[in-house]
Amino acid sequence: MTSPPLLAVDDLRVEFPTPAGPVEAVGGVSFTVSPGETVAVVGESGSGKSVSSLAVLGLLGSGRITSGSVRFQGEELVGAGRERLRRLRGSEIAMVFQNPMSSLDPLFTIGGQIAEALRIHRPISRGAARARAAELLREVGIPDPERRLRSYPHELSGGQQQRVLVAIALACDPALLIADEPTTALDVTVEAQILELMRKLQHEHGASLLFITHDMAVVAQMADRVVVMYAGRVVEQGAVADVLRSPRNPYTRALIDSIATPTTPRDVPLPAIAGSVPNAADFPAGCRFHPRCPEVLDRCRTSEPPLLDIEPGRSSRCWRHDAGQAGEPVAAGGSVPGVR
Amino acid sequence: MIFYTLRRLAYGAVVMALVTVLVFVIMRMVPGDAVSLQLQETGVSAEEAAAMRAQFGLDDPVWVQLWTWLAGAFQGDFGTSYYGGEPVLSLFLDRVPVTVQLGLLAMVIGSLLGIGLGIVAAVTRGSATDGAVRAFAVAFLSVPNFVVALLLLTMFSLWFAWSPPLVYAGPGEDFGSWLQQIAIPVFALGTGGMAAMARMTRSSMLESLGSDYIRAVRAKGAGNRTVIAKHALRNSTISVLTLLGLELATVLGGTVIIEQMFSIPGTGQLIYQAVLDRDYPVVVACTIFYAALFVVIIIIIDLLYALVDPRIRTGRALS
Amino acid sequence: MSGESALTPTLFEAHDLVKHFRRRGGVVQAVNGVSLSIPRGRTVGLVGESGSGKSTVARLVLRLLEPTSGRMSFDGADLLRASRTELRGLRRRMQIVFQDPAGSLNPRMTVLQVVGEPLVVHRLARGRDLPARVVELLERVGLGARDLYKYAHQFSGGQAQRIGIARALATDPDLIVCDEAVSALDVSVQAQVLNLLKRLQAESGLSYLFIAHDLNVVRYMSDEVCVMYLGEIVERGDGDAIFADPRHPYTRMLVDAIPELTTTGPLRTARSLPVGEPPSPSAPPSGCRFHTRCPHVTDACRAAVPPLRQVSADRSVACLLAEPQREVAAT
Repeated sequence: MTSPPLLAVDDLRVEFPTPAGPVEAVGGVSFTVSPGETVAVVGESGSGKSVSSLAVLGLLGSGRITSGSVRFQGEELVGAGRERLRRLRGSEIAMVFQNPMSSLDPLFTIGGQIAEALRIHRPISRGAARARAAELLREVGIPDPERRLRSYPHELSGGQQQRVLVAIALACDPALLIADEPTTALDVTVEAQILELMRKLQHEHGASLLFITHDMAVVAQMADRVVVMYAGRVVEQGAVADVLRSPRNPYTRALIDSIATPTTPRDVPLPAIAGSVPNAADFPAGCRFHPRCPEVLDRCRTSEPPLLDIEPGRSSRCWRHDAGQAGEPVAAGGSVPGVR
Repeated sequence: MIFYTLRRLAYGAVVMALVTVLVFVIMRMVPGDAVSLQLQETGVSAEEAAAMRAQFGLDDPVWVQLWTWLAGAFQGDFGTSYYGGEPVLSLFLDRVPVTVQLGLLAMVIGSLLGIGLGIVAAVTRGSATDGAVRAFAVAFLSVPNFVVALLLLTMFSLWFAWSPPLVYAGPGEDFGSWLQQIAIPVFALGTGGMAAMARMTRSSMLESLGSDYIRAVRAKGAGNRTVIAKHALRNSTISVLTLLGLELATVLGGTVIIEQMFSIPGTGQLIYQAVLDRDYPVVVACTIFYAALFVVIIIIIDLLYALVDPRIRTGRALS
Repeated sequence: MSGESALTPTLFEAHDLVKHFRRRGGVVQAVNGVSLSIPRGRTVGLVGESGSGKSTVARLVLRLLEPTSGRMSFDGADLLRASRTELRGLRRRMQIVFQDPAGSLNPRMTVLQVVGEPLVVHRLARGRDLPARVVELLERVGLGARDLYKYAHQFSGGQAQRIGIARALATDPDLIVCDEAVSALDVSVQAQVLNLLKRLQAESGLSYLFIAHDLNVVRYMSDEVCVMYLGEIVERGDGDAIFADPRHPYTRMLVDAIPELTTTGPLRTARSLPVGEPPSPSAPPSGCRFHTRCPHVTDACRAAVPPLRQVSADRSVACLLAEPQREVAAT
């Protein structure tokens, strides 16, 4: 329809070795990120959202991609050489992590760590790198950048540390910024500032943003499109406004309903989802959400529904779409539901 | 930082004072003194013995002896040996270079090899190399250094009909002979440290390699060399330095037996002989020198901590 | 007898609690003059960011920490002057549920041992009675006899938190302090645990001191909400009212900062972006502690400490600019 995607993840599968044998943490995940777009991947623990994002950068540690494809600017990254991935990391695809305190090396100055990001990819002098580092610090809103260059991570507050990590990520003007729960460890007033900063800088740099979070409200604030994950699978995706306003997948719907908002009546129980989040070692058979699903059908217990295109740009994984009864009628108009 | 340094120095001074008093008092509490030992051997009369005790000041109360000794020590006089009447200081200084050569070689070689092996094991975690390093480390950690020395001696003499020269010659006098003499002792003293160092380096490298900041450095596009040499290794330094201090104590202790075994005329041998002879001035002086050496090294290591880790410099505790 | 006070007599009361920690290089003023009153069968919520002192308050309330000064009473008994035996009896009636459900359960103990421990310690059950009592407790929190001999690692986060709640319930307490009790849980599980806590309250008239950093959760759970900043309560009142009309500039900043789930309106454009970060409690600002971040700061704020004053029937605010029954100067 529009421009070709910057990042296209297709049917990605990732396995981790465990003492009890390999466990598939991500099972056939597909999504795309267009230039300049913000895509949020939202899910609870064990949903595979972080693993999917680390797989893009080849930073899986002991895990490995068993099948699928990750295309960045048309180039296949699965099976790409180690050196090729290394060159992409930090320059074309940068990442911001969850724990700012532990994501900065405690033994090096802030200036040194920003300059390192620059000098890995660009042939610039120490002095030039330092000057650019100061500029970046100013850009992320750290006061007195010249002095801060000489500071060590522990001398900064959590919010400032995360600003530094954003500065590092933006150092080489990446086309894609991956943020893995960047505000989860921060206080809510600081979270608001960091989210605003990321939004502003993304806009100014024209980068795409892949935003990993567990917080639906943060998704609402940040993203254009959302990919909802559960137990290693994508269960719903679409434009944020559509998905949040009228979720079509029972999981998405139940999850949104269970969140306390400023207007939730206090004297009524919250609509909770029964049961617990499964972990990768024992995902249920059939639809992975079926043991907790309020709208479960018989066939959900035995066979897993495919991710169905229910509207243009909108897909959901539920057998009820087949039956045409997942809360709302299936895709109006001429669009034929197709299997992804 | 200045405060930190002063603090370390003050701690060092306190430790030294305590060690001095303790060593002095304990030595006097050990049954039998130099005079009674001579009495057994040569059959001196009770009068002569009393005279000798008076001459050495052994009949004074302990705290008077301590005071006399301290007064001398502050003027550089650490007493004279009961045997041969040589000043303790010159006796000690004559032998220090030998022990320092031996100990330093053992520590430097052991530590460097240990750190190297530890890095290799950590980087190749789970491989055969890693397994070999770990097995090797456990083996050498569990065998005491004199046993290693004995095994090597036996092995060389049985299989190669070779044994180290009996008379010690300094490296300046006869380098080849010195090397032969010192090879097995250095090896015996160094292996324990090497094994401990390899294990420590491996585990702290693994810890830092698994940390968030290493992942963040990789995400910047850093290559393996930067990741390992610059970030992971530097973050392992604290634990390696700590171990280095402990190793020093082990090696110093080890020289006492090893020097005796190989008739190497170092301070270890001096102490060993002095203890047998109840040669108080020598024992006390040597022990205090050792303690001083140890305290100085620990202070140096503490200062190195601060140099490596900015959190210590600014007075923030380690996490 | 007045009907209102007869319905909700006060269970726990703290007056002017202060806790200062001596640290190298200074004193950390973790809690600075906090007063609380928890009515029987009600929930008082404590909300604040890191460094606000809310967890220290939890520990003070349970006397896990000795306050530097202040008074506390529980069911009429003076908590700080109580003898050892009295305190033991009072402790039985006050329990805590921690944040990290798995981490606060001993991994080497079975559920029977974990939940049974307080029963044994307080001599409430033993021998053959013990398993039966524990099963009863487990059933109250939605677990059962089949879980009796399992270990902590065999449970999910939500189940582990249920065990933590069962353990707290074992001594039949009147007050449970929930210190970030749902913060570590997955969103889909949080609601279950919140519902459970509310159900237990309705069943047995428990009081809660509910501490969390998530304002939405605290509002949902609490009859009264106290907002803490740097060791002080800056605003207290009905949760809904505080949300709708925050009177302290910090509360307003906090409410504005919460990301909203709705995407119907323009994003945040109408809201002001929070400024700065909380200063360290070891060097709190002079005067009003919020003055360094406050958009309405005046010279007076830098000099004088604003007292917590009642501005309407059920609202108190510690702000020099907050006037009774009137809005704070518009932004």
